[in-house]
Amino acid sequence: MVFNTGAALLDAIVLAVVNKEEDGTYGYKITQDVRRAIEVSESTLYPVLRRLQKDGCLEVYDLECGGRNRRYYKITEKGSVQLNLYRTEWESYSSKISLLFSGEEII
Amino acid sequence: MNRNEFMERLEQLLGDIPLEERVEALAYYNGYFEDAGPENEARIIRELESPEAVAAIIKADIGVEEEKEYTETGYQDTRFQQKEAMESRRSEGQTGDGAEASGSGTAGTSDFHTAGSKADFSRNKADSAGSQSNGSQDPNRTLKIVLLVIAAVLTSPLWLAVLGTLAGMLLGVVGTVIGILLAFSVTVLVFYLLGFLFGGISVSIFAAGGIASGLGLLGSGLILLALALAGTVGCVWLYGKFLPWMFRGIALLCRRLFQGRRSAA
Repeated sequence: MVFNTGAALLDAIVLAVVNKEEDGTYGYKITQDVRRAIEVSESTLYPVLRRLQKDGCLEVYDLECGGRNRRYYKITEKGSVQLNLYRTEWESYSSKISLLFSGEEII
Repeated sequence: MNRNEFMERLEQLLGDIPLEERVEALAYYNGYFEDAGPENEARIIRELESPEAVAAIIKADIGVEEEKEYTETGYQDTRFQQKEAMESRRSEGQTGDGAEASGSGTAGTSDFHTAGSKADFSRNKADSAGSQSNGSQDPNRTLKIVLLVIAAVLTSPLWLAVLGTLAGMLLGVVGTVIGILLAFSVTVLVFYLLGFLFGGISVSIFAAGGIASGLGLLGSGLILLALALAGTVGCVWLYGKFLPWMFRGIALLCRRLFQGRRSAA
């Protein structure tokens, strides 16, 4: 991809992906979902998930699946607030850039 | 390298991080392999590049967390250390590449590096939402500049006098040198004229029969001409080499002086 995905955007994308699953989702699936939107290497997301978890934006719980425990990530209240902030920011950021690219005046 | 070898190596490499972090990371990647299924194992190992690269990324992130928690030196320091951490991470990643180096793989890491560095950057910003640590630096710098300007204005009589004296001295030296050069040139010119004049007069004395005085005059005329020729060589050297050298030196001095003042302000 031409454009680099900054950390805030990466956080926002991960939060949005996790937010879609009401019962939470797991690392491999999150990676695959994120990769449908942007190119990230397999090793990119672990630190992001760990950090979001430490910051209290994500909570984890283990659920048995096929004879082993699978770790699920779920968005927290704080994470939802953060995600909404990212959404608003992205709205204004992307619409301004799009407007600029279209050649119209910024009001 | 298969999955077990990969995980074993990763565990070794994570030996020096806190137990909790190590357990978390290993559980994550174990689960990752499980969820991906055996059919994706080779692809994932290839995309993860190497245990070294994965470990470096994990460690770099933990390092940043600790920095944030335990230092009070603030924003810029942290960023600087992150840069260093990134550098080391990069080199670690590259040494790890060796075995299964692939063009796309390396591109992948560097992509992550940029993302990672920006991540930490904006995270710090978000953490100090009150932006004390971020904002406090700019007013500080402005204050310093203002104080320096005030100090410069207050002490201006002193340094203006010193500067003026220095400039005057320099100008005096330059004037003296140019004066000496001109005097030297004129002397050489006069020697030429006198040399030829003496030669001419001696010829007329010879014609009048005064051989002794004629020879004497011719001799001194020739000596004068020889001196004049030597002087010419000296002149050429002075004008061609010494003058340009002197002006270059002065220009350099001025530049240093002004640059020094600018950086002080």
